[in-house]
Amino acid sequence: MKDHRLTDQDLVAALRGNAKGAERAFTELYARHAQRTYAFILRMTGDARASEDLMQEIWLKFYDAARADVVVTNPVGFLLMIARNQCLNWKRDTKPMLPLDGLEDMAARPEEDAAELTRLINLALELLDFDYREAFVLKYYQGYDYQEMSAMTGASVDALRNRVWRAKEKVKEVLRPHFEELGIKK
Amino acid sequence: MTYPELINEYLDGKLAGTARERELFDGLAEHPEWREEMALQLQMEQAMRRDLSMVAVPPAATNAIFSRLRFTPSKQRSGLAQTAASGKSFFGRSVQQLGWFGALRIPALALAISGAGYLVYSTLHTSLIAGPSSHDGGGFVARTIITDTTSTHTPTLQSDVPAPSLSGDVVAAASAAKENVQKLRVDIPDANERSIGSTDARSERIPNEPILSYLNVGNFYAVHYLTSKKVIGIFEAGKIYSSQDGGHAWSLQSSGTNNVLYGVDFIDTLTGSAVGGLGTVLHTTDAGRHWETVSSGTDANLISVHYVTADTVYACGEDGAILRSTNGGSAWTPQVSGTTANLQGMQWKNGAEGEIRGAHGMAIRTHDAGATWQIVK
Repeated sequence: MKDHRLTDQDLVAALRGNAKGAERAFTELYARHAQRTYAFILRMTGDARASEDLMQEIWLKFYDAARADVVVTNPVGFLLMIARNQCLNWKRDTKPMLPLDGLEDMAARPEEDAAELTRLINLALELLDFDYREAFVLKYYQGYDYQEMSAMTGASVDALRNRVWRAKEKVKEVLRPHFEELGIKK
Repeated sequence: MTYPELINEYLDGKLAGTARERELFDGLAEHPEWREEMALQLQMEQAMRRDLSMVAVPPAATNAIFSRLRFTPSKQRSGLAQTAASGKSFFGRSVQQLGWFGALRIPALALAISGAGYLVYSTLHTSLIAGPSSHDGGGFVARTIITDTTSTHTPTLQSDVPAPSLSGDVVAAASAAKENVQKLRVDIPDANERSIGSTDARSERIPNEPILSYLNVGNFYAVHYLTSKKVIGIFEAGKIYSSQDGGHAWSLQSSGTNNVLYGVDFIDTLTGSAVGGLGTVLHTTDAGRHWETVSSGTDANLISVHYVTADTVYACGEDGAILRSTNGGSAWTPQVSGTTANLQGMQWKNGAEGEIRGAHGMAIRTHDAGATWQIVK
């Protein structure tokens, strides 16, 4: 079986087959989508250790669902839906850890501008409510369009546009004091 | 529409060919602040795309996933596991906790301790398993029922069942190795609010291979048997459940706290204590029907509690927290442990001599009822 020639749907179907085929299919699916899944979790939680744990749960749930004949027409979307639910659970059970004054501390350690900008954006993300962070991450980190995001989250396209915009404004607000050092302003 | 919104819409592709697109370009030509805004939004998008490409999956997560699925490591998978992030493997942490299950007491029941650190109680058709009770070890309790077996042997739970998760929802796993066992069902306590699936477990029968079932059961952290029928289970968010029928049916008790509970112990069938997050200590004298919040004098997360005698009780937790009670759990006094390690479990020979173990295999020991502690590992 040349796994790389199979579509994601083919591989999901193979997960329901014999043990060897399922393992190969899973390995290929993981190779294709693990990084994207993990990036989503990491940016949604902002917590590397929690992301590591959530990553396990998400892929095990995905495997179990596929083996249990759950209809999976869009494996990546399905993975991100599981990830979204897991992140929601995580958020519900986790107290915010980021001190607001931490932003100043982080910004006080100058690094290369681009890396610093990335870091500040990620810090700003942690200040966003789940819905806004999710919309922002799906849009800018995962590259989904609003229709796809709507199918994934159940929110309307207009609501998602609004969330992305408000999230972006919030991130900019956090970045604003650092515009000069980031080389964004004058 | 403000100019930042206009720029946002342009970058979203919504303005193509519209009058507003022209409006935007005119504004960009005329106003420096528009250009700054455009530069900012573009830089943000570039930064996020770059960030996505730099994120790598921790090898520990990848290895744990494949191990839990019993998949063989492959070169391809190894290649995936490139990352700068370091992390401990789950199994490393799990193994570290194994020894502590020997210290747990479950009176009036036959108890087997599996090689993987799961408490296992088995009768012919029912097994009760509970996972690690460490606060960050996930933990679960699930009742497995072996059905359709023609064997008269007691089903056994395999020692190499996949480990439960570290946080979030927990996948309980059970397997039955007996070849005559045709089907394995896992039931969960009906109080599980975290279950996002149904109570149907995936059951499969692969010839010559053990049966394996997974099930999301939520975060049950520990169980304690008062009798062969009466069971206390502690759950996330301060929830305490009790069962009067050996774990078949569970009912929610009033705990008076929303803090997560990690450890529970009883000295007899009536008197016990539970400990948990943010220094939470609860005390009961009526078999867990009512719980009183007791001042602990600490904000540390408490992981484990242990009755040495009817009067002497110890609790331990994060940041080297050790508490001692000399009146059966009604009042507690913090002890000086001399360490800031996370303390996870304990064993006591008597009220004076005991050992507490922490993360990474460390251990501290006292010979004077907690007045002083020495690091021994």
